[in-house]
Amino acid sequence: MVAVRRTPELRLVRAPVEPEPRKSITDAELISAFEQGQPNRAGALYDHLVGVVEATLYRVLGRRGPDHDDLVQNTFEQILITLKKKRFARACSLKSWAASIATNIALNALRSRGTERKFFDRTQHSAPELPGTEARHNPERITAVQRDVEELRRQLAQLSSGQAHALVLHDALGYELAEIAVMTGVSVAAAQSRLVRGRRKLKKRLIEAGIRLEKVPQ
Amino acid sequence: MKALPKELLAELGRTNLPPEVAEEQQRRRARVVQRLEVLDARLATKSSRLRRFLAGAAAVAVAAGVALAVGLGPGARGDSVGEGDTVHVSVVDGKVQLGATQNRIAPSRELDLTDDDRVTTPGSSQATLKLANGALVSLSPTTEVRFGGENEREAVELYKGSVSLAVPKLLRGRLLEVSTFDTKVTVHGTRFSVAVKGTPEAGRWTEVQLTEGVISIESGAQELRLNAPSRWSSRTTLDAPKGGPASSAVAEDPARPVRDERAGTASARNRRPVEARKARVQRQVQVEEVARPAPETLSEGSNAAAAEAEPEPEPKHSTLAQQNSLFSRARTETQNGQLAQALQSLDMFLAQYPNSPLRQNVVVERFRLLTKMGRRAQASQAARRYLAIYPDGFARDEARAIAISKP
Repeated sequence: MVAVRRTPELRLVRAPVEPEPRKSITDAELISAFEQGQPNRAGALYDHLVGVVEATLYRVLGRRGPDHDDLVQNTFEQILITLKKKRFARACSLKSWAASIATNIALNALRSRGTERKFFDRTQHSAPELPGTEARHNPERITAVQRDVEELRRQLAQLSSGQAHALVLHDALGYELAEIAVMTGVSVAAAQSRLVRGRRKLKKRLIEAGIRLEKVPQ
Repeated sequence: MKALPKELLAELGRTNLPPEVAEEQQRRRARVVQRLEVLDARLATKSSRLRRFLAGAAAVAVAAGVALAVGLGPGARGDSVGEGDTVHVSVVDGKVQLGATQNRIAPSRELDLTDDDRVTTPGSSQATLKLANGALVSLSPTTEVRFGGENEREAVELYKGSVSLAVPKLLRGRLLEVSTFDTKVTVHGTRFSVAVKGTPEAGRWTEVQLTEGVISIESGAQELRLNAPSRWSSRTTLDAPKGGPASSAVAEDPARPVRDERAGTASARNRRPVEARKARVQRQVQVEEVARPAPETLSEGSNAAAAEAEPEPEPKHSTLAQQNSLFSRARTETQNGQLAQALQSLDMFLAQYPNSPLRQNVVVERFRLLTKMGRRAQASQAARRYLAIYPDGFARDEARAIAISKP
């Protein structure tokens, strides 16, 4: 048996072409595109803001419900209307502005869900996402946090619009008071007042709802 | 350890967005982008419509402003006298005739008159014309007028016959002048009449009777301003000797002082009567010229006969200066010891000016003078008469003492 030594066959393999990085568009360019009526401006707006819009909606609502697409669409419609009517004063970034609008729409959705829940409790049938990566290794903790956060959302829906808005933007999404004041169109003092009173009221409501307010382990 | 709602909210914010199938993302993107494009187009259309509406509204506003300025603005209207070349009038009623032409112009006709066009009313017909400023000019039979003016001034020049004018409120700065051969009357918001009296052979003059408001009159080198009620005649002015009264304006009401105010003086402007302000709404000007017709025209039934039969009123003069002069003369004579002459002067004063504002002073001076002359009975009688007329007069105590004194 003769061993045939086969020469290796080499073939030219074309290196994968690196896709061109999507050119990030600035807020000014995007607004200018709408003012000048440039083509594909709607797609550019969506690509620029979809991340912050979806994340905000998801964090406030806790899941991608069946109405998620509608909420995303509503949010972008509101953003577009404010741009066309020049209500966006460019005092903050467009993403912050979009987050504020998304928060507002999400809180409205929370309230409407609270009304629906009186008749159809969909929370039992939906599978809420895990609140955080840190707690994934403790099933008991996961369950407790899920329950507390769901109650938190329910109580947020009971708060006044301004207070809930300020609480979510500041404590959940991490915006500064000055930014919140710009986004909601009030003074910094008013934003701070809403925040403090909202916290106080939320704490009272959570205690009344039977939530044990213990320090969440980090 | 108690947790704060802040920490629960922070936990909410730490929630990670779970990955999603790419097809689902593309589907959502397509849906939202399509919806955004539709909304964008709709908003653009709406904005365009709004812009067009605003532009149209602005254009309408500008057009209305221009129309208002053209219609009411001084000299801006093409059919007004402001253009200088033509004067636009419309025949409201009756028939008129242009110049020497025999063409009679029926009512509702618009006329663009040049400076050479004279409008006449043929025969016994009357006509009413409307000027560009809204003034209605009624022409009596056998009247000849010319309409003219420039910029903010409109003029009616009366050659023959008579005209009546109803002038609406004029805009500030606009004037309407009615001129005769020797007098020009400027409307300031008033009611007055102008008449040309006399004959060309014997001499003519213009009389102005002001019943309401203010007018200014230019006659020769003079310009004066009259407040109602007063009457003015150019005859006395023209005939007045040098150094005499500036005009023959007299007050209609004896109780009112003579209104003879030079135009342009501050006091004259400040003394505008209330009637003039009230008359701003509707001013009616009565202009009448009664010219002596030629003998052959007398048969046409003109106003000349009535004008001839009417006695010419004597122009009234202000006598205040004469009163002052006569009273001063009496006092000077008293001081000089010419008591009889002084008494004569005082008696003359009382006879000539029974309604004079100086009458009380004259009466007091008279019973004082009689007392000084030693004519106690007459002095007592004069004092009693004074007390009867002026029971609260300034010399009542003195008069009472003289009245009760024994002769």
